[in-house]
Amino acid sequence: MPDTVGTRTYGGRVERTRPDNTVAIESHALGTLNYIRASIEAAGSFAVPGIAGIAMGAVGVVAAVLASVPSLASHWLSIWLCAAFAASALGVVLVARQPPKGFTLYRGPARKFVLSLCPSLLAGAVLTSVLWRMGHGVLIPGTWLVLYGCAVLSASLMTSPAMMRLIAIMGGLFVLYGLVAFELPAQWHNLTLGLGFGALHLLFGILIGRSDRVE
Amino acid sequence: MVPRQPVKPVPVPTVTRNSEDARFDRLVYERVRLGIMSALAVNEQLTFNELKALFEVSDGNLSAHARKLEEAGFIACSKSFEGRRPKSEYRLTPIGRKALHRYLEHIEAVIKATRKA
Repeated sequence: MPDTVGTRTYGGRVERTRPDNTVAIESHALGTLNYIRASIEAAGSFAVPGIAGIAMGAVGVVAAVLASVPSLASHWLSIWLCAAFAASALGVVLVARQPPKGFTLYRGPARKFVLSLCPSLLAGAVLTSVLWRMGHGVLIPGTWLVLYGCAVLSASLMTSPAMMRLIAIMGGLFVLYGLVAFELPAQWHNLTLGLGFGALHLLFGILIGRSDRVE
Repeated sequence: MVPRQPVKPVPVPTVTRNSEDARFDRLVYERVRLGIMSALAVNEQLTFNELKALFEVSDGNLSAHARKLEEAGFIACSKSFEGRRPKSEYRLTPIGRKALHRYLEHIEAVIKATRKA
């Protein structure tokens, strides 16, 4: 009868060997676990709730109103940066509140969604700092809108097929609107940002919410 | 000749396996079936075509695997028509979800036990 486990020597050391046609139990278990994880990641897609878009849009509208108050006009950058943090936090909380669909190891699509948002948002943060320090604040709204649109466009690929199109259209509109914003005079910037981060978010939040219900 | 060394026994995982688990083990020994169960664990339901695209298997192959899981009560299939085309949608049953969960626990226990050893 063939040995299932034998021995061999290297120098004075004795090592256990395994015939070529057998697999260690732990590597089989690991392989199975990796297969399950890969199947889950391939089948899973990230669902963005419409309410997150609506909440982010509401924050955008509030920021536009606040930044338009004459006495607060000098703080417009701080107001919009605070709004960006508040909207992001709200978005994360509302997405996290969704009922779990799978096991805890299912983290792939959500992680990919966030990671695909990051490069453009990071570029936005760096450019904001550079433009502000160089006194080119007038270019900031267009930069934000274009880069946010790029972030949304790339993240849309990680969403469920039903939402992908809507979210990609929203990202594309942000990019186009950002290009227009570069041509607008500085006094229109709060309105421009309000229409983009406020109205566009609100509109697509409602559309996504509706499509979610129909599905 | 080097004398054979006794093989150190690996501690048995603490997760108890019952006959339902054994039945599940036998079924998901085939990877596509395990993949179907895993995919349905994160989607409320998936259509036949979605599963086919996911695992790149033929119609006959997928249908045979799905039928076995369905017969075992781990997944449920609902058939309808989309226009004139038949549409099969699969979802995980509570028994299937529980069995998959226990299977995952078992695998994790095996990995932990062998790592300790």
